[in-house]
Order: sequence, then structure tokens, then C-alpha cells
Amino acid sequence: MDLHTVETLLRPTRLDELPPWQPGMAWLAGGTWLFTEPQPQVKTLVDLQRLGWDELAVTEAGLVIGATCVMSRLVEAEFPEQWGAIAALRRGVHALASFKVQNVATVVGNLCLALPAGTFAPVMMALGARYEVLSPGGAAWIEAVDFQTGARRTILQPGDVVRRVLIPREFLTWQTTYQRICVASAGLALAIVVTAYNPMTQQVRVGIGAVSPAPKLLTFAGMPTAEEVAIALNTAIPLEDCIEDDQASATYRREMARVLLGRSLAPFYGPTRS
Amino acid sequence: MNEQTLHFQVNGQEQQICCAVGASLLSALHQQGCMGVHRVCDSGDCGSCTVWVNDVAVHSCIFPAFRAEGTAVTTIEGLAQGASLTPMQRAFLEKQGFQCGYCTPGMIMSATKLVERPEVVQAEDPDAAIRNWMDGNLCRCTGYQAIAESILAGGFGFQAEVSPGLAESGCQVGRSIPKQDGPAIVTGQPIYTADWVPAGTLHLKVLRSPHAHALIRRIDTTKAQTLPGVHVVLTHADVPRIPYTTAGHGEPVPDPHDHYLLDNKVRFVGDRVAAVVADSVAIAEQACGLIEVDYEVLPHVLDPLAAMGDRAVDLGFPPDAASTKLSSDSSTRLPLLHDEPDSFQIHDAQHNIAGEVRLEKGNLERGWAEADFTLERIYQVPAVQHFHLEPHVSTSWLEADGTLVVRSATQVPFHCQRVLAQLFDLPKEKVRVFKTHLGGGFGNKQEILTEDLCALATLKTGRPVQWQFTRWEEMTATNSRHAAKIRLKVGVKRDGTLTAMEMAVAANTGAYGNHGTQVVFLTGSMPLGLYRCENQRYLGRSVYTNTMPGGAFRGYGATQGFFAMECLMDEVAIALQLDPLELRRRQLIQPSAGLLLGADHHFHLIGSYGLQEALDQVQQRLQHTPAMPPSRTGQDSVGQTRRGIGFAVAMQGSGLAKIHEARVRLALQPNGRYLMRTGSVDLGTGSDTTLRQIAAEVLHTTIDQIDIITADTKETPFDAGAYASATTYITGQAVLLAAQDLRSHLLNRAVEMVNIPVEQMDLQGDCIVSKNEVSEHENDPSLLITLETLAHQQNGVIEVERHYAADASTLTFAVQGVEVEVDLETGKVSVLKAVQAVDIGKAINPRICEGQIIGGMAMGLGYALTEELRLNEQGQTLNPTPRTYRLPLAKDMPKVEVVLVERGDPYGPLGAKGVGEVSVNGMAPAIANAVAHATGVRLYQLPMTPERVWAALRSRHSSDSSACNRGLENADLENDA
Ligand SMILES: Cc1cc2nc3c(=O)[nH]c(=O)nc-3n(C[C@H](O)[C@H](O)[C@H](O)COP(=O)(O)OP(=O)(O)OC[C@H]3O[C@@H](n4cnc5c(N)ncnc54)[C@H](O)[C@@H]3O)c2cc1C
Ligand code: FES
Ligand code: FES
Repeated sequence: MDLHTVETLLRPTRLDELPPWQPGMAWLAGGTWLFTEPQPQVKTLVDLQRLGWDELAVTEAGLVIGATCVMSRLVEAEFPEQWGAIAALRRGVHALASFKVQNVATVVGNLCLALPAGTFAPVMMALGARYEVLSPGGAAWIEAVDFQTGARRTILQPGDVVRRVLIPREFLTWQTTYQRICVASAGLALAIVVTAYNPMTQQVRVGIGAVSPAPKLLTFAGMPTAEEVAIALNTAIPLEDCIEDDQASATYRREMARVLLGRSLAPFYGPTRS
Repeated sequence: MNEQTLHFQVNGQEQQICCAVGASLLSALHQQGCMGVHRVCDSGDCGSCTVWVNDVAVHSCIFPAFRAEGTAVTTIEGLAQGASLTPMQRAFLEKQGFQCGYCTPGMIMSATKLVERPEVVQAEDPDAAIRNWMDGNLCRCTGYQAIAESILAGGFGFQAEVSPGLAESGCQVGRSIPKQDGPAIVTGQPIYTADWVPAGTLHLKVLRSPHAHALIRRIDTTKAQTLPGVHVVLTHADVPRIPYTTAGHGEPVPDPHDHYLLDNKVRFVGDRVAAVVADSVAIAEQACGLIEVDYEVLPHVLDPLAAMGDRAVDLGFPPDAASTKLSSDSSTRLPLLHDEPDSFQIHDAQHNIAGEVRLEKGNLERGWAEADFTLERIYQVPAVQHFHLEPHVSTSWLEADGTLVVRSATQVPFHCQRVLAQLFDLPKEKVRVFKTHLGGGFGNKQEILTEDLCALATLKTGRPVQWQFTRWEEMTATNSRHAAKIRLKVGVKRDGTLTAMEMAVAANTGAYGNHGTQVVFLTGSMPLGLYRCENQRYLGRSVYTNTMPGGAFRGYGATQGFFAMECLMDEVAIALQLDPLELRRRQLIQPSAGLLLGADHHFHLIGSYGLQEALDQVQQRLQHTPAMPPSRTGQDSVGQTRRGIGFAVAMQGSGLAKIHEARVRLALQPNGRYLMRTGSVDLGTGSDTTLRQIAAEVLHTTIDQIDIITADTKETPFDAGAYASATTYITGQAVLLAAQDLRSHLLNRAVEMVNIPVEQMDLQGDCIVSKNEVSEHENDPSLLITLETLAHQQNGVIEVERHYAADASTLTFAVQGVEVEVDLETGKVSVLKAVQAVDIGKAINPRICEGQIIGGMAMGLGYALTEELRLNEQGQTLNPTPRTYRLPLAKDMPKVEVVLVERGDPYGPLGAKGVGEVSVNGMAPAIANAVAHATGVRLYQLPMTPERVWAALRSRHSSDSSACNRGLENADLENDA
């Protein structure tokens, strides 16, 4: 929708062209959230598009997703077949919205928006991702687990910008599953469970989104028993931390986390357990 | 607001566009006149605004305009090269992948790109892939089936069967002639209300109440008034105080007169406080923010049972059935919504009862005494929103002669004209209301919501004014289907005889009474009337609360009532160990049953009767056999699922007897073509096509020979409007009569000229021919005279006018069957199959009828599973956007089957009955019954969200012992948080 309150548009090609950060300024990535509701507090849009931050690159370190890389590129690009991590990323894309939104929305914008129902945060946690944050003081790498602190809350200070995401190479070969439930067949999730499994070491990392205001990570040194899963879940997300709102109760959300966890681990138990 | 100048190509033309820096691409394209890019949700959810930027499909409403700089943008208007449509456009036209067409440009723009994608091209089941990938495009009319077929045909060249050509003669009735507006729809022509405004149009916005209930102590508009670009600001102090109803009904208007142009009291969050008229929407919005209002907040009430105070008692609900407490604990007095002295036709304002309906026949006490057992249940159904894709919008201006003209998206132009004349004290002839193309209505446009203030603004400023609702306003400040609590009790004999039925309903009519009482009438009379039972009693109330008003919505109260009735009948069948269809075969009304409950009010009767056949058809197609067990599926990693089958029956009248009037003028024009003038409103369903088919049948011509002018108080004769499934049944009858008249007129005139007895002549296309081939004419021995010559010789136009009002409203029956799958761990319900058989009388245009039925099924599916307007304790809507208010998507709809049971109705035109509404009623109870069949757990509350189903499954689990005799015990009030 038209953002009637926006007065100024800045389209820097370098960060240092920008004036000092002021209240009322907002980074604009794809705009697929910013343009969906009135933004009365936003007076200045700072467009990231001309900064040349749109890389989707495979480096020594791993897979790099630049701040303005749109989601559909994750679907279109070709990756080595043994990179099991890609499946979870692609599911994150599909879970978001229509293919037309995917053509415009960015992965990093999704992470920065930090909705509880964010479709990528649990993926990034499960894959041990790190985000490069540029602040007036310099650059720093933040672990995905430490980034989102609540519903629409992150560790970013006003003026901080996420430059890119790195999924370390070691995690790219992990096998992944992505489970999600909504009130309807699409829309904002009530629970998201992303499991990454290292077939060599049997290590398991599970990102759980939409259940609590900030996504949570569970890690297991080997395939957990049902009991271990239950304990880990209850410890990581006690019932009082679960979201209770008009869409679903806390109890249901946590219960769905449990059910989806079971389903997302199932493929990795091997034939004996299935 | 700063402006920016952008340069980009629009459909191949370089354009320079000046727009606000925060503008969306959608708005920039509208400035360029690309009105085929439709704004529906404005939030990226519906896909109606889809365009291509450098050949990449995007939702233009959430695409920043400045990002288009230097690109090439393609819109629906730029697809076709001259007259040659793209394959996708042709496919939509051929497969008729639209009704109102408001979603169509976005569908075509999305689908064209979708079918290029590998996910779809390589899919094993392309239909499923298409439904899956079109999840960013909403349609509220079609139920997606015709759309999926269109995309398949457009993308994969699936051979479309050749659609019957227009000019083909012979029978016009009974053929699926394409909707006549198709070419305009698939090319995105500017045919809808908002697509054109006069030069110099101002824009109106209202300030809406943040409180559920408050008095306006003081209101200061000074700052707003001085904002540059603001023309006028109106508050309750500036407007005539006349009580009226927003419901569009004919006189004598039955509804409470409790609404004012602007009032010093607000009654729900979203109620109108003040209106601003300004040069642009943005300025008007900004000015609204500058109005200072001093509210005295009053206690509010959100629950209809609570709102009635002690008068709720005789409805017989258990004491804890009220879901909210009164807002103010300190005061025991009820918050009264309409304590103002000047409102009238309110049943009991002291208890917030807008209207009451009591119906009774037989002797209920005797009925209970005769029963072997009784079952009593309480049901709860939510407020749901129409979500017609085109919002409410009107544009008004003054003609040179002082006539007030309102171009409006309305279902009821004539009622609207009358109301405006009364409000502004104008002679009716000085008010002209007309509609252009409608982008859906479903009842919400049988309501005068924008025309009143828009017209007032024009009268105050002398300028053209437009007022268009945002989606947020649609969801929070128009109307909903009435939320209701329903208590239903039946007495049953062991052989299945129903000895007594008692129903009590508290319907939430919200802040204003409008349609409430009429809606509540159908909630009781339709479901109770469907069953043979000597002793019946109904008490229904429409109750004021501080919520968005309930209003007219397809099904009109019957939908709510049938959910209760058809669920309870399923339980009766289980208690009797009888197949649910068998119970219905025994107990449904028979054609001989003359007297129906409430027949003295609404004159319903049974004309044609194909109900038993409809039951058989649905049973066969679902391959249902009595005592069939539910099936178990999917015990692997996706968890446990169960499948079950469920049924429901519904009926609905065809138009309103006695009071629903239609007039039709039919003329032979000097050029030899016909012209039909009807005040009726095609909501997008195709009724303009259907009506012409009826005339063409009688005039032995083809529908392309009939020009049509509709729904304009100046240009067309009176028609009550598009509601109550009336257009085919009532206007259609007037068309039939007019066509018969005109035919005999023409033949009689011809007698004078050709000297042949009238019995030996006939109409044939654009000529009059002899049945005996007596003419000397070389090529065509039977030609006597062309209609053009006839018209010439008669010095111009030959015109007839007929009017029709039905003595009785004939009943249409529908049987719904579904198969569902329930995920036992998550509670998620998916509908795998859906079949509906409709006892339709005669399908004038089978495809249009099927479209109505499939669309109704989709709406019913949303009602059953996901749709619900949720409020917080302050009365604010928690889910006022399609992101959180979930409508069915293409992937939620199975491929459905429709069976048209055709046994000509003795009362309808050429045997036709109404079909617009009945189809929506059966889905929710059929799904609930199928869930019960699959899992043994029954839900009494809609929608059946995963959590509710899960909770029901869980509570069954924890008290398994009581499950064996559930059939006979009373339902707990579930989920009544
Ligand atoms: C139909 C639809 C459905 C959606 N469903 C979901 C959903 O299920 N889950 C979900 O999480 N979201 C959903 N969204 C919201 C949103 O579109 C997505 O989260 C999207 O990924 C945001 O990306 P963007 O690039 O468009 O962000 P923008 O709208 O441009 O920005 C989003 C926010 O992040 C900030 N931001 C962006 N980039 C940076 C950066 N590099 N550094 C610092 N701050 C930054 C912006 O200032 C803004 O506050 C949906 C949107 C639509 C239209
Ligand atoms: S109007 Fe753009 S997606 Fe609905
Ligand atoms: S035809 Fe799709 S919304 Fe009307």
C-alpha cells in the first residue's frame, strides 16, 4: 500500500554516503513487509538495493546470502546435490508466500523483521548460520541463535544493518527436514520445526519457530530418544514462554512443536524405528 | 509528502510518472490509467494486482513505485496484441475462469508466469501443482475450479471443448452460453465502479471510532479544516438527524431505523465519527488524524446473551453460555446501544433486542411426551466476512440540472435512491443511482454504506466525490454474517419420527439492527421447515452488541441454522443406528406437505421436488454405503489420519414473495435489434446473460441480438435488486412475460403488413418467417419481413413493459456430501471430495449455475474450517487482513462435483428456481459430520480449526468412558472461552 507518511527516499550506493541515523529512518530491502501496512513512524526509507549487496555466493567459508538477495534465487540457483541444507532453505522460501512475493522478498529482510512466525530463523539456527552486522562502530559476526530476542525484536541497534548471512560449509551437507503448521493451509505458522542431521556424526540441531516469541535451538549429540526430545523441548520452551494469542493457545503451540519434532526427526531414525 | 518523477515503460510505452515517494507501483499504474490492476487487499495476499516488472511477476501493491525506474512494466492491458489475446486469456475466456472477474487480471498475469515454471511444467499432476502454486491469488466467486481448468488449458493446451457459439440458434435455454462480459474481463477493461471518475473528483475518508461504545462530548475539526487540500469536514453537528437503516430493503422497510448519517454516539470500533473531503485520499487521511475528539467512554457489551440481560433467560441457554462478561463490573446496568429516543422499529431497546421472531405449530409439550428420547445441543457460529474482492465504492456528482448522481457498487440501486431522497429531502427523480460492473457482493452490497456520506459531500461541496473502502474498513466497518448461538432440541421416536423440535437463537446483529430480524427468521424457518414434524417452536432474537454489524450474507441466516440442524440430525441417526441419508429420506418434507413453519410470513412452497434424487446422486458419487466404517490412512511419518464421509441437506427460497418486484422493458429498436432494460443487478454471477437467454428463447433469437441496460434508476424500470436468490426467479419471470408480449406484438403488427394470419407466422432471428414457406423471397422462401423493416414501418421503437412479483417463493433443495481426512495429532481437516446435488428446477445456463454452486461450496468450506472474525475484549478486530483471516485457497478446494437435478418448477420462469444462496449452507455441517464419522468426535463450534479439532479429540481421549453414549447425553459447551 502507499506509505503516505514517507517523506524522503535515500538510495545510497555506499554506506558512508548516508547522513547520521535518525529516528524515523528505516532500511528497505524487498519492501514486502514494509509496504503491507501503514508505517506512521517511518519518514525516510533507506533503500539497500544500490549497495551491491545482492550476492548469493559459495565461498571457502560456506554459502553467503547478501542482504538484498531475493528468495527466489535460492530456488533457481543450482547447488551440489549432497547439500542437504538447501532443502530447508527452499522450504523456508515456499512457506513464506506466493512465488511473486518470493521474487521480491529477501532472506535477510525476513530475519530482520523477526516475526515469531519468521520462516527462515529456525533454518538459520539449525544450520549454525552467522550474520554480519554493520554498525557505526564497525562490523561484527553474530550467531543466528543470538540474533532474535523476541517478537519483532533483534539485537540490532538503530542504524545497524545486516550485511549478509553465512551458512558455514560444514553444515551444508547436513540433511534437513522442515515441518510447519498453520490455522489454514498457508499463512502465518503456529509452529515451525526445522531439523538438521549430520549423517556422519549423528548430531542433530533443531530450530523451532513460531512457538515462542523468539525461535529456539535444540541440539543433540546423537539421535535423541523420545524422552530426551521431550525434556529438551520443555527446557528450551517452557509453557509460559509459548505464545498465547487469538490464533492458537500456548498449549496447542507447544504440543504442535512436539508433534512436528517427532515427524521431523522420524526420517533420520533409520529403518528400525519407522 | 514529497513527489518523485519516475521514468519507466508501461506496456511498451515510455512514461513519465510523478508520484509520492512512498507510493506503491499499483498507485503509479492507476495514475497511468491501468485500472485492470486491481487493488483488493493492498498487502500482498490476494494477487489481484499482479503485474510483471521486467517480465518478473510481482504484487504491485507492495512493490515500491521507485523500484520500477528504468524497467518495463506489463499489465493486463498490455498482454493482448490488438485483438489477438494470449493463450492464457483465450483459455480463461473459453473455460469461463471467472464470475465477477475482479480477480481475473491477477490470475492471468500470475498464471502466465506460473506455467513456465519447472515445478508446474514437470508436475505429475498439473492440476494439483497449479492449485498449489496459485496460493497467492484469491478468488471469492468461483471456488477455483474453472480457474484451474483455464490455467491447465492456457498453459498446457489441454483441448478445451468448443464452447457453444453465440450466434448459434436453436434453444437458448439450457445452454452454457459464455458470460457476455468475458472479453472485457480478461483484457482488464475499466468496467468497475472505481475505474472512472469525473475530472476534479474529491475524496472522502471517515475518522472511525477507536472505542466500542462512547459518547462524543466534544469534537474539534479546526486543525483538520485548515490543512491545505481539505474542502469540508463533517460531524454529527453538520448533518440532518434522520433515523434510517443501512439495509437495502423495499418499502415498507421492516428493519430497525437506528442509524444516522453521523451521530454523537459511537457503537463499535470502526463506527463513523466524522468525514473529511479533500483533494486526495492521503490528505483526507491526514486530516482525519487532526480531528480532536473528546470521548466519554461507555461500558460495552460484545456477547448477545449478555447484552439481553434477564431477557436472555427464555432462550434456555445454560448460564455459562455467554462468552463475555459485561465490560463494567461496577455497574449492573446493561450498556444500551440504542437508548436514543428517535430510533424506531426496535423490538426492545431496553434489552438491546433489535428484533424477535416467534414461530410455532402444533403442541410442543405433546411432542416431548411422545418422544422415546430427546437430544439437545448448543452450537456456536462465528462472524465471517464476505470478502468480495471489489470494495464498497461510490462516486457522486451533480448534473447541470441539479440531479444528484451516484455511481455505486450496489446490489440495490433503487432502494438506495429512495433512501438518499429521504435523507436529503430530494424528489426521487432528482436522485439517480446506477451501478456498472460489480466485483462481487454476496449481500454486503445490499447495504447503503458509502452512498450516503458520499452524496452528502457532493451536496455540501458541489463537487464530484469518491469514497472507496480500504480492505481494513471492509473487514472492520461493513457487515458480517451474524455470529449466533443456537440451542436445538429434538424429540425422536425409535422409528425415527420427529415428534418435536425446538430452536432458540441469539444472533449478534452488532451495533445496528439492519437485516437482523429477517436473517433470524430464516435461521429458524428454513431448517425447521425442512423436516416433517408436527410440533415445532422457534424463538430467535437479533441482539445489539458493540461489534461490527451483522448483515445480509449469502444464505441469510439459513446457513447458521442448517449447521445446527444438520449436525443434530446426524446425531439422531447415530442414536437410532440409522444411516444418515436414510433418516433424511424418511423425515425430510414431502411435496405433499403443504404447511411449513412460518409459511404465513414468507409464503414459501414446494414447486418442483427432486430432493430424493439429489440424495441418491450424492450417495452414489461418494460411493457411500450404510454403516460404512471410517478409513484409516497414513500411519507413517506424517502421523495418523482418518477419513470419513458426511452429509447435509439444505433449502432456500427463490426471491421474496409478494414484495420483491421486478419490471422489465423490452423493445425492438429501429436497427432491428432488441433492447432489454432491467433494474436488476448482475453481481458478477452472469445473470445479465441468463436473463437474455430467457428472452432469446421466446423471441427465437440469439442473445447477441439483445442489447441490455441494467440497474440504473434513470434508464431502467424498477427492480428490487439482487438479493434473496431472486434475479432468475422473479426478474426472469418478468423477462419471460415481456418477451412473450413483445413477440405477440411484433407478429400482430406484421399481420397488417404481410397479410398472413398470425398463427402461420413466427419469429426467427432477425426476421419474421412464415411457417408455410409462402414467400416469394428467392433465398429464403419463408422470409416475410425483417425486424428492421418492421421497426422502420412502425416508425421507430416497439416497446413493452411487464412487471412481476411472485405470489410464493419456491424452494430450492441442495444435498452436500464430503469426504474429509483428519490428522489425529494436529487436528487438521482436509476436504478430499465434495459433491453437491441441487434440485434446481431448470438450469437456464448450466455452467453459470455450476459456478454459483462451486463458489458457494468454497465459501461454505471457509466457514467450516478457517474463517472467523476474532475480537479482543475491547471489541477490536484481531484479524482484519487476509494474512490472518484465512479464506480458502485453490489448494484447499478438492475437485468438486456438481449434479443439477432438473425437474421444471411450475412457478419459476421456464422451470427455473433460485440457486444463488442454497449452495453455501451444506458444507459446514457436512464437514462436521464427516469429522465425526472419521474420528467419533463432534464439533459444535465453527470454524473447526486444527486446534479446536485437536482439543475435541483430546478431551474425548481423557474421558473415553462417556463416549459410548455420547449420542444421548447433552453436549458440553465446548471452547466457550
Ligand atoms: C503474503 C505475505 C505473507 C507473508 N508471510 C510471512 C510469514 O509467514 N512469515 C514471515 O516472517 N513473514 C511473512 N511475510 C512478511 C515479509 O514479507 C517477509 O518476512 C519478507 O521476507 C521480508 O523481506 P523484505 O525483503 O521484503 O523486507 P522489508 O519489508 O524490506 O523489511 C522488513 C523489515 O526488516 C528491516 N530490514 C530489511 N533488511 C534489513 C537489513 N539488511 N538490515 C536491517 N534491517 C533490515 C526493514 O527495515 C523492515 O523493518 C509475508 C509477506 C507477505 C506479503
Ligand atoms: S492488492 Fe496486491 S496482493 Fe492484494
Ligand atoms: S471471479 Fe474471482 S473474485 Fe469474482
